[in-house]
Amino acid sequence: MQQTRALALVLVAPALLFLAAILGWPLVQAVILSLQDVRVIGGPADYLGWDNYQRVLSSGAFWDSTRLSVIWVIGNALLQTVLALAVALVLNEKFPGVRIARSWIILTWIVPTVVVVIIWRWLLSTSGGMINPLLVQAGIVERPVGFFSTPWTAFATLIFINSWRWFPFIALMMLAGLNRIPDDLYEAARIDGANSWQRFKRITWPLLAPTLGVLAVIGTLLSFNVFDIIWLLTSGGPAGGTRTLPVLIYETAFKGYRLSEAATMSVLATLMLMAFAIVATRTLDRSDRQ
Amino acid sequence: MKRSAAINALMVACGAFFVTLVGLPFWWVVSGSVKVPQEIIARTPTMFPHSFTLQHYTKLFDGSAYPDYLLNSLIVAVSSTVLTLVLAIPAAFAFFRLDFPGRSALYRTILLAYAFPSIVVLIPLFGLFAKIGLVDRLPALVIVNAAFALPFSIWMLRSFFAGVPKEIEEAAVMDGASTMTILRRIMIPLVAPGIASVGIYAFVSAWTEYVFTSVLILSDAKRTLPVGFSGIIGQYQIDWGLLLAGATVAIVPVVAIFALIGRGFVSGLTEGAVK
Amino acid sequence: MAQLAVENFRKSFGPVNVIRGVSLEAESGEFVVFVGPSGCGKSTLLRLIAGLETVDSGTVSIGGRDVTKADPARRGIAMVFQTYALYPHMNVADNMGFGLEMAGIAKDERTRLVREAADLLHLTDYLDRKPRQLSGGQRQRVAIGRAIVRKPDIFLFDEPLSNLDAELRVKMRLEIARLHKELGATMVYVTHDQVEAMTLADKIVVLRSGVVEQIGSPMELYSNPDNSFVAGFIGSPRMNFVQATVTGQRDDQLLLDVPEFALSGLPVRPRAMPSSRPASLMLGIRPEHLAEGIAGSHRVSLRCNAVERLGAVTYLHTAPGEDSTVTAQLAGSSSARTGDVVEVNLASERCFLFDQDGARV
Repeated sequence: MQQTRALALVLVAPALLFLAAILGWPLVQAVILSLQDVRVIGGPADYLGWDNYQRVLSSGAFWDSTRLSVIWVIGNALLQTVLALAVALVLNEKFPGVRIARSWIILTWIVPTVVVVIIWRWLLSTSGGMINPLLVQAGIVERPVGFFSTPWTAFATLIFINSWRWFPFIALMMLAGLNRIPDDLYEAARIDGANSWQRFKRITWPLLAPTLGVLAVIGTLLSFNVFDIIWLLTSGGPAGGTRTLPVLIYETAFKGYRLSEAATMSVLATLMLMAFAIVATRTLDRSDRQ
Repeated sequence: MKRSAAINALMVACGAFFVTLVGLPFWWVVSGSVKVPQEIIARTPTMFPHSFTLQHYTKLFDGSAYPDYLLNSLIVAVSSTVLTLVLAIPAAFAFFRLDFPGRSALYRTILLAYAFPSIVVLIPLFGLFAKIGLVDRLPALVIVNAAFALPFSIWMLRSFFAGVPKEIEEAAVMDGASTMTILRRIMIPLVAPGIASVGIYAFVSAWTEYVFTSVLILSDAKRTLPVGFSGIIGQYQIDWGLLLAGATVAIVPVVAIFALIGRGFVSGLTEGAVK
Repeated sequence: MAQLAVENFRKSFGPVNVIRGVSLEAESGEFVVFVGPSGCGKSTLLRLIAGLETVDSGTVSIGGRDVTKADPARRGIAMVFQTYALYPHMNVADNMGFGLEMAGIAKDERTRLVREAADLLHLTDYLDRKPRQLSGGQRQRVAIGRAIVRKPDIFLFDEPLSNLDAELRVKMRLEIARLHKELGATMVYVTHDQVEAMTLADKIVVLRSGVVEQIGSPMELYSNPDNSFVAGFIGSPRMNFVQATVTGQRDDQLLLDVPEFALSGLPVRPRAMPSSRPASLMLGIRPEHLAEGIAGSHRVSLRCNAVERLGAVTYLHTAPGEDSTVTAQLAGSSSARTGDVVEVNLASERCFLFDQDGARV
């Protein structure tokens, strides 16, 4: 039995060491970078202390991007949760074709982002595409809508596209949570005379809430990080209207050649996310205990 | 279960709505890829193609580096998947079937990997890879993809390993099997659906990865699909037909894999996932 | 076949003392049953013998060899689990042969041994099937076959029949008894069902709260229990316990007043006459000895508050649902109804005496 302990450590070691090297160590490096003045990779590194942090924290661009990131996260969370919950509830029932639906709904998640980008760039384009001609034909609008032409419409459109991509994945996770609610409870409730809405309110919702909570936290962390969709569709524009924090960091590092400043922003973003994760999990634990 | 006809109709309508929401855009893209250019940009769009041409595909494969991108993506995705599985399966087995000091602390640390934005490690990682000469090499991508897929993969395997009854393990012990033999002959066959799930997750993540690839790969010949293809998009004169064909081809491998073992993935997620 | 010797086992799980000083022995070829209520530690005891858990202190020897520190696979034992624990992804033949494969036995030899065991258990037609294609009883036999094939010194059974329906349970019980006779093996069997214990065992070990209450043959435990717990546990329906005051002594018998039965001066012989005469004792009498149609020394009137008719026999209960209830056995054809007062015979020589702590007097 003693050998199993040593064996267990041997089995875990490769994964742990791998993660420590590829994720852990760079994290430490990023913090170090943020305290220096590095412009390009391999460039000179003067020690600056907290200068970078002062500069970043007092820069309007940083706070603008932070604000956009927060709106981005909230918008995504709301839209995805609503869509995912609706899909999960529907897929939890039995009707012809539900098996296929369950398997393939996740199509939007398994395709590369670039495909998503092409699909929607084309569908929403003002010349050609599918959505605008349909809208015009149906008489809903008079001229084609420029979905990407103003900062706010671009932002909203991006939120929709990103949600379109992720909601099936979240829905499947919710479906897992729904599956764990025993059918007996619903049948007992039905015998007691509860209708569909009451069953949802008194059984589904309370028992699903913990799963929803966990998904909300994970979903927030994931959506914060989204970079490629925004970059490929709007490059952070128009006029910086969709320049969330990841976009700003990327630009600062690779277009502005200010690596240390980018590292500083990354560290600050990390702190924000960690604070959120800690507060969120603690709130979840507390409501779990209730 | 008797349900009112109204609720049933509502269910089917919702189902149809979501299938449309998800499926229609893809249908438009795939059907558009075989339309002649004039039909693609026509004023009134067509649901079913009125024309048929393979010109976009020939242009894609003959006239651009697309095939290279495709091949690179395949290599990276398959390798990342293998690496992820090789690291995740023993680790998950150790975390969820064996006992050792610091087990829960280490497990929680691994999950913390998702609490910070991936952008953070991008810059230092580039520096690290530059130092050991891995910049502009495919193995760098394999390493990065595996690293990001690993925590979630271990988490996903948790419920599958936990689902194997302890008595089966004890029977194997009584039969004289060593721990490694138990892992190989008993555990792995019994968590096969979980392994399929992790495999798909790792493959898809690697297949769709953009940010790190765009930074770590410099030469066009080594680009993977997302990056290479987005380069094609960025051009001023947009050739929709070409893009639609490219998008269609990019979908094919993942859809094919999903058709084969996707059922396991979905049931793995929905039946297996626990907190 | 080897002997089993357990010496002073102690085992705690955290703050809970599950096994508190248990010692026992099994002779070669004996069928020993561990029996007791839930939580008494019988399964833990079995697992300690198997080596699936490690003892805190104490030793276990098999065939004279100390195996306390040995791995389960090296103790010369084989175990049949309550849930059968068959490998779902292997067919019956591979399930049974897995242990042999681990021991490095060649394929031909393995096939032969598996076939032998399969014949013994009537499993030959099922060797290619997977567990999910078998019925509960068949799975049970595969689990047993997996144990037989290894030709162990001792067989361990952990409540193997609990998951079967009543009819199958009776059938498998006889099957296991037959196997024991044919193999002549030492078998250690855990169950909470005292009927299984009585019918299968050569020797019964009664456990309660991690301690051995009594060890003996079924009939010994039935007719000569050491304490009220064993007396109440063995035998169904449960023995009756009523209060009695000691009023005197005559030769080697104590005279008792038993208010519940409206008897005074009831003579009962204790196992051993106590040095000082106790004021009150508990009287134990089995329903079958408080019955109609038996030769009894005294008559007792009981009020019938519940009747259970089993066809061959009828039971009368005076206070159903309460601990103080008295159960008497009536003829199968009895026409007693709730509310009747029924007269039964009491066989005083079948009475047991226990002190207030439950110890046999």
